[in-house]
Amino acid sequence: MRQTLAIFVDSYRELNYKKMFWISMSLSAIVVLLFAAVGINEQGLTLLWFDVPAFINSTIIPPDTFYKFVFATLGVGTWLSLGAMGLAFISTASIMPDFVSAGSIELTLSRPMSRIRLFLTKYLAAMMFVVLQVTVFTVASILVIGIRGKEWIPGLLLTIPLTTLVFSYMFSISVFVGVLTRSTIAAVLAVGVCWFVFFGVNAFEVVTLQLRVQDEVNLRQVSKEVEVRTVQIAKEEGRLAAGEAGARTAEGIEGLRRTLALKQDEQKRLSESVVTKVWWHRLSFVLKTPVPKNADTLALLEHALTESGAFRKVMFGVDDDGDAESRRRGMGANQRLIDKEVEQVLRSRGWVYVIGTSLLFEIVMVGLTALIFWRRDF
Amino acid sequence: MTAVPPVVMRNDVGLGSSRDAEMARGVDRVPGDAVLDVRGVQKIYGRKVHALRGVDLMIKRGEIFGLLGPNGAGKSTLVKILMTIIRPTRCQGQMLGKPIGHKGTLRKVGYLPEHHRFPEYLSGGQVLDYFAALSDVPRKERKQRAGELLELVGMTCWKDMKVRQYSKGMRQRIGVAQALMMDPDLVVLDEPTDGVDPVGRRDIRNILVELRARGKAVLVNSHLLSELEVVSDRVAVMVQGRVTMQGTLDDLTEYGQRYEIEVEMPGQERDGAPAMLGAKVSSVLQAGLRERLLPAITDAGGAASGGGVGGGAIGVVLGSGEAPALGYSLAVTGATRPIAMSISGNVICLKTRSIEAVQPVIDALRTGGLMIRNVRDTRPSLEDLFIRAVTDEVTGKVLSPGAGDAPTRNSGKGDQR
Repeated sequence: MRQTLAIFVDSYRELNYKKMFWISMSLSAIVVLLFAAVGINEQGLTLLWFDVPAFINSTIIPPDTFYKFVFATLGVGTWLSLGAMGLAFISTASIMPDFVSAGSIELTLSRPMSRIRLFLTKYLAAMMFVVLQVTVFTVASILVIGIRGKEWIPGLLLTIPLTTLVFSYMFSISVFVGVLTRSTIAAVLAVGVCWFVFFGVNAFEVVTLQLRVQDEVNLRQVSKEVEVRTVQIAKEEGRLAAGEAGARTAEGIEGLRRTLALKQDEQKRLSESVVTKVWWHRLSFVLKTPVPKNADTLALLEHALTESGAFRKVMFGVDDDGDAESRRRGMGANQRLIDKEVEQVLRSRGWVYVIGTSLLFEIVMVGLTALIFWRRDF
Repeated sequence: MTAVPPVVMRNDVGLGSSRDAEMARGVDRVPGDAVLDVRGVQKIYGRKVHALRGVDLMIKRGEIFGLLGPNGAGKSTLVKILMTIIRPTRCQGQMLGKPIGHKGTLRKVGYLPEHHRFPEYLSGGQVLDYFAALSDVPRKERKQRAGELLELVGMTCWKDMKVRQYSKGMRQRIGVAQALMMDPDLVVLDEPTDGVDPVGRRDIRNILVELRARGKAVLVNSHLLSELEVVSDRVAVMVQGRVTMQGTLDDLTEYGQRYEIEVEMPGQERDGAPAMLGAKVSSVLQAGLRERLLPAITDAGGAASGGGVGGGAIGVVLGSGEAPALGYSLAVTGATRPIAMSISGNVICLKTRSIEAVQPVIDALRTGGLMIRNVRDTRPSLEDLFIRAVTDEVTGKVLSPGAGDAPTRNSGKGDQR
């Protein structure tokens, strides 16, 4: 315990020494101040002491939903997941290469502490950079939102473990490359490339999911229309045979049959397309499963804080059933249905899949690195 | 009549090879007293590079042990194996009673690596505290020892300054202090005086001596032979992955211990013809020694026995005329020792440690009309020993660094391979 504590204290001193830590902390403070400047009331949005007319106001969007949205999208989705995370990777990339560099590693390996324990402790201690940053940012945000907006949202504390998890997925790559090559630049580059690849894989899966859902929704609609047309034709044929007044003529029914044929062709095409899209989505899902799910992990915060569709309501000023408003904003009901179904699919994956598979990746990376560290002659 | 032993004229008089198994490895095994005792340490990188080829080493409690060798000899590899930084291919033995590689043992082993790099964000005091904490030293003891050791290495005034602002010498001082923070039983110092000024070197030497006085064992790996010569009790010389010599400095330098007698002829100018003086000296010694060692004197190739100097000396004089190579045997305290003698100009060199063996020669010289100008007791320096160890006996060239084939030297007391 004494040795573990010493490594954590040393890591704190190390990050305290890094200018990037304080730059990042200062930028976090600026973002928190931005939160403090933005608000919502019955007239619309507020910026400092000024009212800003907007299509949303506190009568449409509950203030707590609005603040959660601002925090989740701007605070976490933009600043923490991109800005602060990027700075954190740059700052921490040198920790392991420095740790295993000649002249330094001898001083630590010659202590009465197993290599595996030494490595894992150093690994965990290095994550203090992000834990401290996110903790300060989140607590400050909760205070600002509470004082400024009179909304106290302790659920935002969930940001701390989730953001740390996302950092740890990628940090495991940085550590692996850092220990393997002893190069800070290689570690930064590796994280950058992997981040890009993982983003691509995850985006590919979401796109194929959207395409699949889009075709499925369209197919359902076309199938429904085919069904309706079929019934209509049968009904019209019956009426024509019965000689009912107002019944369609044979030409009219033929026109219905042609329309039905077109719909059936479309149904067939969509059915085939759905099969293809399902295949592509399955492929992308298989590709996605073993890699870290950064965006999905951060999205868990939104899932935990709000009901489905709440953030779309903030963004578009409508809920999922608001046909009139959505049409005014040029957003088709079909598209909203697709978005809703995609979100439902994503939400249905849950914590175990998102975090579990990502952690598995991290465990494999850390395990490999620990093995290298354990076996290497320094 | 006692049989006269053959006269030996060689460089390594006294460095015999007829020893028991342990002595042949140059190690006086005293297991109960050994702080470090390793045998057959091998390290092979990638099946091809033999960094260590079977090293035997023993360090006793309360001694300073110097580890010498040219660059690439394997010294640092050996030290790193002891400190669990490198895994040996093969290693038998123990350190502080535990097998090599036992992590817990390192609680009582202080280590200062070569070219160490302390974290730049730490101050000197924090360096001591951090590395002592890693060695599992309780906080209270850390505080107390840090104060004492900072004082000892003269760094108290700079303990709060960041390491990045230190000079190299200051870093070394802090490095030595951190190696002592756990009150170690064994201290391993790799180039401890590297970059340290003369005052600092003296301070570090004094610390080593103090540690020895407290019964600690110190292993010093250094290129500064003069430093080691002053403080080391025993040394080992490594060449190309092997220990080629190991023993006390007295033992290792015995091969070259000699008395040099400088003579002058009465009235002769100091820069007079040396060849003529050499011939004179040779004839004087032959005649004088014959007289003094009789009846046990024979000519070259012969042998005789009888009483003489020291109560029963026997002797032989080899060579004659202008030949400068002479020798005789002398029994001192009952044991017959061959004494090699050579003449170079006006200097007679006797390869012996016994002052008694020199007396008949002085007497002979004085009786023969020569004046004694100077008598010197000389022995090889550690540098001479080092050069000898790293020089190929056959070619006379300095062995290349690295893990090539080390020479097999038939060395003497305390020597290894």
